[in-house]
Amino acid sequence: MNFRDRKSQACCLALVTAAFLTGNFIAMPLPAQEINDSISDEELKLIREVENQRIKVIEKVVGSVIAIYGPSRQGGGSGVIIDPGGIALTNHHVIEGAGMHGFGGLDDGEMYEWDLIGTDPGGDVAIIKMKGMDEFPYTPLGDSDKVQVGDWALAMGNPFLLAHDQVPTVTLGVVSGVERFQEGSGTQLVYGNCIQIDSSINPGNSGGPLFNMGGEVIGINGRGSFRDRGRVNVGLGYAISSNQIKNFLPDLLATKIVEHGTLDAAFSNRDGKVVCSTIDLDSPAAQAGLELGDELLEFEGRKISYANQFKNLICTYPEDWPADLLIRKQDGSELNINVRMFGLPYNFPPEEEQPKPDDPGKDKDQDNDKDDEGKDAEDKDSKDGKRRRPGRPGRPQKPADNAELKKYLTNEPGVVVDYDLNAKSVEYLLGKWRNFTVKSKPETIALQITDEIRGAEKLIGEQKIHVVSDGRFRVDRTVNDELQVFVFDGEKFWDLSDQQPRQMDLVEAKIEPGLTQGLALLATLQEKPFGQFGRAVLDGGDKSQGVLSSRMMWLDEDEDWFYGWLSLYDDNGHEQVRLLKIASDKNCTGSNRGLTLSDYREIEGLMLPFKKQQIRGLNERVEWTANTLSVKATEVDDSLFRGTKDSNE
Amino acid sequence: MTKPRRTRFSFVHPLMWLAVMGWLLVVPASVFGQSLNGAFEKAIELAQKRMVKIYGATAGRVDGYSSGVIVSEDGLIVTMQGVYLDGYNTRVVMHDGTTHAATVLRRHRALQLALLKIDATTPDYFELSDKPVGEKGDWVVTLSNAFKVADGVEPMSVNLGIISLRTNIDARFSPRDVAYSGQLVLIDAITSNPGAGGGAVVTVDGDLVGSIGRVINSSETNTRLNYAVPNELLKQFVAGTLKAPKVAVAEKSDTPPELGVRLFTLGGRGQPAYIDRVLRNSPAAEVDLKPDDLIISLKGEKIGTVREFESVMQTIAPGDEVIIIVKRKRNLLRIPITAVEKK
Repeated sequence: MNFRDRKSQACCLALVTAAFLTGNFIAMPLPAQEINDSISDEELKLIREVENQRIKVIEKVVGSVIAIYGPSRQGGGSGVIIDPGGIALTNHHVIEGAGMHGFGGLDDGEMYEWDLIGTDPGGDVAIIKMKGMDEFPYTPLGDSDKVQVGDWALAMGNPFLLAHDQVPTVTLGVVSGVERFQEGSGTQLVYGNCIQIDSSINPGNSGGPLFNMGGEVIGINGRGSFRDRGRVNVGLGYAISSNQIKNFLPDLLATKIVEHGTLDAAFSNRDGKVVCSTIDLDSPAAQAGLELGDELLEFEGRKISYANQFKNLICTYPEDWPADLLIRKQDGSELNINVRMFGLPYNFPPEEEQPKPDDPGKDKDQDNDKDDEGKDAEDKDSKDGKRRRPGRPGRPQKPADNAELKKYLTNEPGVVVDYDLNAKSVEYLLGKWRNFTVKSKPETIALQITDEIRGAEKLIGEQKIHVVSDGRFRVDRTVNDELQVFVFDGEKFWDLSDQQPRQMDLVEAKIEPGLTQGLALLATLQEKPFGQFGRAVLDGGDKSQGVLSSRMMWLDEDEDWFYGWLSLYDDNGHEQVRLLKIASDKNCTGSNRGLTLSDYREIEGLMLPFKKQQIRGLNERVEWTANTLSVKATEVDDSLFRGTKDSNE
Repeated sequence: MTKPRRTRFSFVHPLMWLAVMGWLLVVPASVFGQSLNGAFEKAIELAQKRMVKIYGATAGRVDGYSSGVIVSEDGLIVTMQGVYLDGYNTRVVMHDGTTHAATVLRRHRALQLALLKIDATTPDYFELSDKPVGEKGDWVVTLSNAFKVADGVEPMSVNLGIISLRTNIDARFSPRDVAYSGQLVLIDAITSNPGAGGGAVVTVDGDLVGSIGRVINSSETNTRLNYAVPNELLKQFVAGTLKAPKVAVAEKSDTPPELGVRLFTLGGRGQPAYIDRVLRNSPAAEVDLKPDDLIISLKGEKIGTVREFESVMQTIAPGDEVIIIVKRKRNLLRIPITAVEKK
C-alpha cells in the first residue's frame, strides 16, 4: 500500500517533469528542487503505457462522436453513433432544438445529414440515423449495471460549440454516483437510475456519449446540477444509463414516440419494508392481486430494499413492458405478478400559435427559461442565411421553430409513426438476425432433427422435424401416444394427423406451436422469414426468457398478426440477435400458446435452438419442452413435404 | 457614497495553473493493473461508511442539509456551520440509512466548523492525525452530499482531483468572504457546492486530508474556492485546543491598544457599539471616524455589542493594522486603522 502511494507520487512528479521538458507549460508552479529525480525508467515506462492506453481508448471511440446541428448548421448538441449503419443517440432536448433533420459533424471534419427515427421525450433520449457513409465509425452500448463509483468516465461532445473542425472535446472524470434519481422540474426531464459523473458537462455536451475505459458507451450525458451557478459545470453531471437506452431501443427504432411505463402503483418505505402506498384499482397490477400494504420484494428480478430503488428502476422501462414483481401479502404469502405496464400520460405539445411573419418578438431569447440547462441547441432563425455565432453558453435558446417537429410530436405515443422508416429498421434487424444465425450460407440443406418431449416431469413423447433450406418442413410428433403430423410444402400448411389430409388456414397454423417450430428453424435462410404470415413490422420492445427483445409483428392481408421476439444482447451485454419466442398473441393468453427457443448450437453453419418450449402467459409458463437429441444432414426427400399421406415415414 | 472596497483572491491565478496541471497528471500507474478502473475503489469504500448526511432547519434559500465526517467511535461528527444546526432538530443519517438526532457540542466561528455528537457507536470513523495528510500533487477523492443528490442509504457523490496547494489565506471582509486566516488545502475537484460542506477529502488510501469547507465565493470573478480544512486543524478542533481568534491569548499585548474611540455605554455593555467620542490626534481621528458611527465589525469579527468590541480589542496589539467597518447613516464604511499604545 505504501509502495503504491510512493510510486504514485513519483509518477505524478515524473509526468510534471515530462510536461515541463516538452514545453507544455510556460510557467511552472513547482520549484525545481521538489522534482524527484529518483524515478526509475521502469516507472516512467509504466506511466507512458497508462497514458497510451487512455489515448488509445479515445482514438478508438472519437470517430463515433457527433456534433449535432439543425438544418441550418447552427447551434447544436452532441450525439454518438452506436451502429455501423449510422444509428445514433442524442438527447430529446437536443432534437427539440434541432428539429427532425439536420447535420452531424464527425471528427473527419465532414458534415453528414441525419433524420430523426424515434424519441423518448420523458427519458430525454432520441435516436437518429446518419446518412452518407456505408459504414460509420461506431461505439457499441456497454453494460451500465457494471459501472462502479470511482470508475473513469470519459465524456465527449461539443461543449460551448467549440469545435470548428467537428473534432470532439474530451473531458475525463470519475463516476460520482450510480443509481441516481434526478427529479424533473420545469422543462427538465426525469433522469432515473442515471450515472452521476464529475467529468465536465457543459452546454453543448447534451446528447454526447459517456464512455468507459473499455471504449463502450455507458451513458448519454444530458444534464447537471447547477442552481445558482448558471449553466456551467460545477462537478455534477448526469448521464442516462446505456441499459435504460437499450430497453427503449426497439421502440425508438420502430419510429415511436415512446412513453415510460407505470404500474399505477406507488411504493414507500415503512418499517424497513417497501410497501404499496397508493394503487389505482383499475391497474393491471391491482387486478393481478396487488393491494395496499403489500410488500415489494423484487422488481424485474432485482431485490428491492428501499423505495427509491423501485422508483429508479421503473424509470428505465418503456410503456407496455412486461414487468415482473414479487410481493409479500400481509398474510405472509408471496405472489408473483406479471403485467404489462401502462404508459405515463404524454404531454402533447401545446397548440401552436401562428406567429406573424415579421413578429419582432420572435427572435427574443427566452430568459425566463432559466431552469433548463439543456437547451443548448439551435439558434435557427438565420433569415439572412449567414452563419451566426453559436449561442452564448449559460443562456438557453428558443426551441427550433420547426413546424415539422411540432407536428410529429402530436402523434399518439406508443404507435408506429413512419412505416417506411420502420420497414428500414425491420430490414436492419432481420439482417442482424441472419448474421447471427447463418454462420456460413449453405447451398441447399436438409436436416432431420430428433427431439424428446418432456412434460412437467416426465417424458411424454418425441418428434422428428425435417427442414429444407427452401422453407419446406415436416413435423412428426407423438405426444402421449397421440400422433400429430404437420407439413409445409412451401405454400400451404397441411395437417396429416388424421386419415384425411387437411389444409390448415393461416390462423390455425399460427396458433399451433407444434407446427410453427418448423417454420422458425430455418427462418433466416428465407428471403422473408415468416413471410407466409404477411409483412414484417417492428412492433416495439419486449421481454422473453427474461431478456430484452425486439418484438416483430407479421401482419397478413386480413391484418391478423403473428409475433416473433428477437434478442438484442447476450448475457454479457454484447450484441446478439436470436429468435427467442414466436406466438400468435403477444401475451400468450387464452388458447394462444407461444414457443420459446433457446440453447442455440451451431450445426452445419447454422445456429439452431436445441430447446423448444411451448409456453403460456406473460410469465412464459412451460407446458412442454422439446430437447434435441440429434441433428442429421439428409438428402432432400420431396415426398416428405407433400400434403398427402403417402410418405416414406 | 463610499463603496466598500472589493476583495479578490490572490490565489486565483496559481489555482488556474494547478487546474491545468491536474489534467496532465496520470493516475497512480501501479493501481491500474489490467484495467483502467478501480484505482479509487478502496478509498471510496472506506470513506462512504465514515460519512453522514446532515439535515436540519432551512432559512429562505439557505440549504438545510450538509455532509459530515465521523471522527470517533462514540459518534463525534465534524461538519460545517450552517442554519441546519440552529433548529430544534438536527438529523444525522449514517451510511446504512439509520437516523440519529444530533447535538452541537462546539462551534468554531472563523473556520465555520461544528462538532456534533450522536448517541451511537460505530467502528467506521476517520482517524484524525497531528500531521498534515497528503501533499501537493497527490490524488484525492472527495465525498459529499452536494445538491442532496443522495438520500437515505444512497452513497455520497464522489469527485476526483488533486491537492493543488497547501497555503495560507488571509482573512477577508465582505459578507461573502471568510473570517479565517490560516492554512487550507486547495484542491482542483469542484467541491464548492450546496450541501458539500463537511464532506471528506481523502487520499487514495482512504486517509482524511481534510473536510470540505464552506462555499467561498470571489465577489470579483464569481469563482469559488475549492478547499479543505486540513485534518490537523480538525484534530485540534475536536480536542478543543483549536484557538478561537478572539480569545487568542498569544496575540495579547502587554500594553493595551488604543484606537481613540469611546463608545456610548450608558445603556450597558450589551448595547450596540455606537461611537460617543473620538479622541483628538488618535488613529480614529486620523481615519475620520465620527461620533454616532455604529461599529459593525473589527478585525474580521462581527461586532454586535460594546462588550464584543472590547473583547476583540483585547486581541489587538499596538501597531496592528486592522479593518474596522462602521455604519454611518445609510453607508457602510470599511476603514483600515492602526492601533497605538494606550497612554
